[in-house]
Amino acid sequence: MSIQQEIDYRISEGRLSLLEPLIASDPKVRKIYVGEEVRDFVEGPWQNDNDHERAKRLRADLDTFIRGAPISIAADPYQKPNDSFLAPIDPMSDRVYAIRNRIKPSIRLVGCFAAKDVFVALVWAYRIDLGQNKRTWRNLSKRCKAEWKSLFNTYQPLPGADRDQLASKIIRV
Amino acid sequence: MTNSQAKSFVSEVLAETPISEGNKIYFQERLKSRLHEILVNTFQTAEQQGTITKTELARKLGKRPEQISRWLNSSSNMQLNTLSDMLLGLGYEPDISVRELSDQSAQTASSTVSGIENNETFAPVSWLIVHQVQPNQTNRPIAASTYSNWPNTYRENERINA
Repeated sequence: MSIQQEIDYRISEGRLSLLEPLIASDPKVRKIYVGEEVRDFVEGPWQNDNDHERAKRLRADLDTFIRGAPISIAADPYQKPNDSFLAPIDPMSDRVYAIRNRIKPSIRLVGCFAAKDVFVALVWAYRIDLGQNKRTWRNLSKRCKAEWKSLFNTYQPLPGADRDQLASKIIRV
Repeated sequence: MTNSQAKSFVSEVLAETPISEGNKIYFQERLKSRLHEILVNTFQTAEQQGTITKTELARKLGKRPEQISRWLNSSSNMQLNTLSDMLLGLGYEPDISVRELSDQSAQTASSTVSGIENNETFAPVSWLIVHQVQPNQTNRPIAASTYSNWPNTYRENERINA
C-alpha cells in the first residue's frame, strides 16, 4: 500500500482532511492534509473574532502553499532566515517541519512531508508558548511524530537533506 | 474542509455586511502573497537570464544584499513601495487589472462578466502582469501569478486585455 493510499484511508476514517483552497478557482499545485487538531483551528467555528482573524491569516499562508507559489525552506533549525516559510524542527532526524506564520501572535503549524509537495499538518502551537526552551520544541515535535505514527505506522516522512525533494519552486536566497 | 465549504467561501464573504475582519485579513494576506509571487518570479527570471544578480540589485537600490534576501524570502514584509522599488531595480513595472471575485473557474467566468462603466461584456483580465520597461518597444510580459497556469483561452484573453 502506498502512502497516498494510506492517506486516502485515513480520510475515509475522518482522521485526515484535504485542505481545499478557499478560492475554489485557485490552482492546486501542492497539497496540505490536516489532522483533527489543525482542522479544528483552521476551519472553526472560532470562539471569538481574534481566533477567527488568526486562523484566516494562517489560512492565507496555507493557500499560498497549495497555490504553488514560491516558498522558502530553511536548511537548519537554528541557522535560518527569520522569514522562512518552512523550517525543520530540531532534531532534523525527526523529519518534522513547521510552517511559520510570523504575524503576531505567531503560529507554528507542525507536520511532515508525505511526498514532494504533500504536507501533512498534525499539530500547532502559538510561538510565544514555545519560547526558547528546547524541551517545549522537542515536545511539539514528539507530539507530531506520535500523531504521524498513529496515522501511518511504518511509513516514514520525507527526509529534508535535499530541500528540492520536499517541495517545488523553492526560493533560493 | 469539504469541497462544498470551499466553493461557498466567496459567496459567504460577498454576502457579509460588514465583511468580517477575519475575512478581510484573508484577502489582505492573499494579496501580499500574490504580489510577492510576482516579485520572486520576476527576479528569478531576470537572474536566470543573467541580466542581474542579487548583489547588483542591492547596489542599484542602495540596499544591502541581506535586505533584498528578506524581501524575496517572504511575503510578510511585502509593501507597495517594496514591490515598486524591486521591480524598478529589475527594469520592470506592473500592469494592473482586476477581475470579479468568483468561485467559478476563470474560463467559465470570462464569458459572463459585465463591464463596470458601460455595461458592455468584457473578459476579466489577469490581476497583475509585469512588463519590462523598454522604451520604443512593445512591452513584454515576464511574470504573472500562478494564474498563468489557467487554460489557454483565458491566457489569450489576458494578453488581449493586458
